[in-house]
Amino acid sequence: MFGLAGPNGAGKSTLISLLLGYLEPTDGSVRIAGLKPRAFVERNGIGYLSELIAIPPRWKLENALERYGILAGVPAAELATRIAQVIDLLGLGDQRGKTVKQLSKGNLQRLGLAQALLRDEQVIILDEPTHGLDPVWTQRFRDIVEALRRPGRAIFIASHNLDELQRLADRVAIIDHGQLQRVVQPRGGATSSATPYIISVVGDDAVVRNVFANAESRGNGDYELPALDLLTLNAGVAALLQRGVLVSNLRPAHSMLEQHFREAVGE
Amino acid sequence: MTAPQRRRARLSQYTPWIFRDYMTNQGPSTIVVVLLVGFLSVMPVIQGVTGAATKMGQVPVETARRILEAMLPPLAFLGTFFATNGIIANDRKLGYYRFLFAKPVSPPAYYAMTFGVYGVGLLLISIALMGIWAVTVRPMFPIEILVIIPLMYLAYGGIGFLLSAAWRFDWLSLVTVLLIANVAWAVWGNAEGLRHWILYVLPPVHRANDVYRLRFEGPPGVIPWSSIAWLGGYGLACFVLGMIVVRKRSLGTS
Repeated sequence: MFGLAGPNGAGKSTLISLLLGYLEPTDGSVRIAGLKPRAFVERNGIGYLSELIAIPPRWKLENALERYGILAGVPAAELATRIAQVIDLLGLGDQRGKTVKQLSKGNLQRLGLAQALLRDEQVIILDEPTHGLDPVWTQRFRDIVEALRRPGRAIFIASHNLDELQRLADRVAIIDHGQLQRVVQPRGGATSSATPYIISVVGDDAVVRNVFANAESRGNGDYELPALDLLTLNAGVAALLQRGVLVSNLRPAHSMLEQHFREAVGE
Repeated sequence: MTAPQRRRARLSQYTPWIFRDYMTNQGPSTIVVVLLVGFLSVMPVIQGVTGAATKMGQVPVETARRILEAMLPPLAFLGTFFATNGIIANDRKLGYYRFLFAKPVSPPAYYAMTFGVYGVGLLLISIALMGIWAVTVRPMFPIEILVIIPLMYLAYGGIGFLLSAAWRFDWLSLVTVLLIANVAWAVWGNAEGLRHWILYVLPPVHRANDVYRLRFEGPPGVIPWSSIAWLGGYGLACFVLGMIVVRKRSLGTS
């Protein structure tokens, strides 16, 4: 599972359009399994969820899935079952008779994902997949995407949501101004470089400030600690415990991916 | 990554959906506009404005034939106009291409099929309108319409298809091109030199009347093969060019 992160205008959607053959590169070339994108898509199809869900507004949800299923090459004998499965998977059972224009933003997003999953595709591309989903469905979406993992399948996710990419992606490419800045393994273990942390404590404020000289209080016993290496951090925590301050939570102020992102795009 | 087993869209099974789209969108527009034109043409005859009043369903054959000849150009043009307006450009403009062509679908094959199905739809709508005509004006079914409508659909529709493939302002440009062609053929029809050759790049709209004048319920006339070939050939050439544009022009540009 490959993630794609970048600020607005970085070129994420353009890159996806290149992968689908919707745009031609002005320089260089794109190949999927050795084929030009359009040749690959017209041969095999791609499970694609676009950022903008564009489906004719008068189509009914179930009819839309039937149309896309036929075009996706789902065998006629399997089509009804497959549609029922994706409707069930995406919780769209009570929406099946509605037209596209009657759907809420979240349900439209789920319909977009449903049509991408109609066939067992080898390549899946999801552009801002949780855009418009409520927290429950955002989590459900992550579970669905996790379940899509299988050998030989490539899943490509572009998202503004770094937390989502941190949780889902095995590798994340960070791009800016149309250039690849770096490729990160977001779950590659703790960084050894100095990192700012958030610590939550129960105890004397003066003790915390005494141990971590530049700690900034965020209220409710939370403090943001300046960039510290692991040795200094652990020594500080030991000093707090020795002096009767209890630590209830300790985490990096930014996820590893967020840190990389900030460094790569200069934010 | 290795290429998976090839799996194509079932385009032929998608045909009923395209037909349904035509019958729920463009078809009704064609019926309403042509019925309005027909009503405005027939009512003066029924009311006796143009001579002795006559009854619905019993309009004299020669009068019915003349009215039908007058109504055929609007039917062919407006029907084709509604059918091909936005046939490709709308998918680009509104972003519908994104899901459609992420499936294993060839855009030229998809749009060629759409063009064909819409043509069949227009023909069926025309036959239905002739049924209404037979009931309300005079019982007659001019078989020539089965030639005229498909031919004019190919002639005008081929141009519309090319324009829709090329850019987003297809309806506006179709009307403009046909208007320019009409004026140019009227003004420069007998010109020589460069103007003469420019005319041959424009749609042969001056030949349309030859086709519309195919006899209805009258003595058989001379079949205008040259005009049929010119109009059909021009439309077919535009359609083929349109297919090339669909293949070559990036889907993501509108």
